[in-house]
Amino acid sequence: MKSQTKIALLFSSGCLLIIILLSISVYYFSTQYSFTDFYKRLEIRAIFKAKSTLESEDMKAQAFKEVREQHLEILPQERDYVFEVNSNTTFDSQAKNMRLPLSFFTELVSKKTANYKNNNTFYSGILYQTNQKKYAVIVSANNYYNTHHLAYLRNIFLIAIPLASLLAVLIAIFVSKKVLNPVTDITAKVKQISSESMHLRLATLTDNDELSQLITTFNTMLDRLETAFETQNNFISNASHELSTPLTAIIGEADVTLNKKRKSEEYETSIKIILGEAERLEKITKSLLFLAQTGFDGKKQKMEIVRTDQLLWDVKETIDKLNPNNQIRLDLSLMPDTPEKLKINGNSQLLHLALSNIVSNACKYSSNKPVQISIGASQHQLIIIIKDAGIGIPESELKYIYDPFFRASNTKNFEGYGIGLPLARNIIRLHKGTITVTAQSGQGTTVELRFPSIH
Amino acid sequence: MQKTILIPTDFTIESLVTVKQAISQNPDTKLNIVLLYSCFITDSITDLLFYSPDKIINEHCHQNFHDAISIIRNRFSEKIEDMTIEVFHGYSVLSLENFAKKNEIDHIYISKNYAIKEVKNQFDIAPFVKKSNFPYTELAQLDNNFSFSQTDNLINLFNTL
Repeated sequence: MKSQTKIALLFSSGCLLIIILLSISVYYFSTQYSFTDFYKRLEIRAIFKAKSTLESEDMKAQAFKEVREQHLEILPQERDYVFEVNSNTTFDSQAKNMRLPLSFFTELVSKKTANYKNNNTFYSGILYQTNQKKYAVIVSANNYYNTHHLAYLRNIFLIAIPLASLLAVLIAIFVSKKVLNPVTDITAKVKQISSESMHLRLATLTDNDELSQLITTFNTMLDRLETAFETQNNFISNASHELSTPLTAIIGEADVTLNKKRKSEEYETSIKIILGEAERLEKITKSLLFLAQTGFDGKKQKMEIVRTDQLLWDVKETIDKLNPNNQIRLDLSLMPDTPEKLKINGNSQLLHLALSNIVSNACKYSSNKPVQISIGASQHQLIIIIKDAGIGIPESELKYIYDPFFRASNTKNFEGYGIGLPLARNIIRLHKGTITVTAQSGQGTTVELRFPSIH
Repeated sequence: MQKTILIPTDFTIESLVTVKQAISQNPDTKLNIVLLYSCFITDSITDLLFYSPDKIINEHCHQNFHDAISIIRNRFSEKIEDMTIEVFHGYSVLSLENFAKKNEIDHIYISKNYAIKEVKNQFDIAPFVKKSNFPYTELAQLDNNFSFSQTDNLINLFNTL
């Protein structure tokens, strides 16, 4: 069921319930009231009857009779009965005459008043005492109000309830539409966004309600999706390019060599070229494999306590071996007093890989200008900053630097595949750290790494 | 021996470099460091009613600044006895001297290379320091023409190339 109909049904059934309960209670209480009211009317008539017929003083009786005739209207089918009551009256004949049950008379004698209702005929009786004699005065009449007024009320309800419920249903449909309209709008707009039109965004609402929050969330999700899509596309095209270049070289070299018989030296040189290209291919596939592995999950890696100053010295040593001309300076001016602050939880091999990637990049892209590695510890974090004075990164390309195989436009003169930094970021993420790169084209690059410290 | 020193700050990393240099100037002394943020007092009556120095500090103090302070404290935990940030509103030599007297300041250090930015309602107290009779030292980076490459970056706290 659509939630629109659900809301409409819920709303209208609630309204209907209220309407029906209200009408039933109104009808019930007005019926009750009309009964008690009618009994009172009959009782007054009984008193007047008793006074006018049984009063010993003639003048008084006459006055009561006149008042009764002039001011009390005669009820439909009004009848009155008066008879004397002794201690041994049985009421059998009266009960038969008036078609009243005996219980009515016993109640009359014991409580001095009694009411009885037979179909639409109402009976009210009083016990009147005068000159040491007791008389039962009983008045009966048809309840006109019951038959007419209540029937009219019932008819009103019978017509009003369907009309009111119809109105409730209409309002419910309107409200549910009004409430869910923005949602259907969003659905329609989101449907338009496909993999081909990832740039589309939902129009934001001006007011800051739940729906505009939903729209903003949707939009930020779309942003992320779009970047992920682009990254994926870039990755495939770059990867296939990177992998096909050495392959083409190998195939071309082999083709040319096999064209005709050659001297053994020529074979040697071409096989050397093929070997070189194959080694390059292996390097790329290996680093790709590593990237994929570190990207999966952190459960495989063994975590231990690592001292970062030791790690940085190791990294420097490794790079010294690979590139003896480097000018790495370890800045320990703000290294914390206590070695406890330098310890982080991590996998030293992976951290070594990430840091040497970043530091060797710094050396490479600054053509062996000085590279400064600073280390410091704040309250909860260990901070490592690597700063070089190299070519930097153009500002517009900063957001792509973590895409595998992406290489900035100013790196044409440097060899590389564009896997190092994404790999380093994956490793740093595994350690719950953050990496921030700030750079300006031609002004050098600063990489800030933060790791949560053990304390 | 213990000493209380005053260093002006505008909640930038660059202004904290002076702290580092001041500590190296006092190798054998325990230091009480008072970082002084100077700004004009607000004109608004309601703001004055709810005036609180902590509020002013919290408003300007950002995460990088916090981190930089805790880096320095971790580095020199043996030497730094205490490090507090105070707010100062007096725009005169006399009120600065009064403030220094009240807080029992022994020495003032100001930077030669970095001038406190006079943006919004904050002002630089360096001219008052120079005019006053209070003992002060002007500290410079490696050379006098040095300037910071990036503003408010944590790298500026460390030894710069």
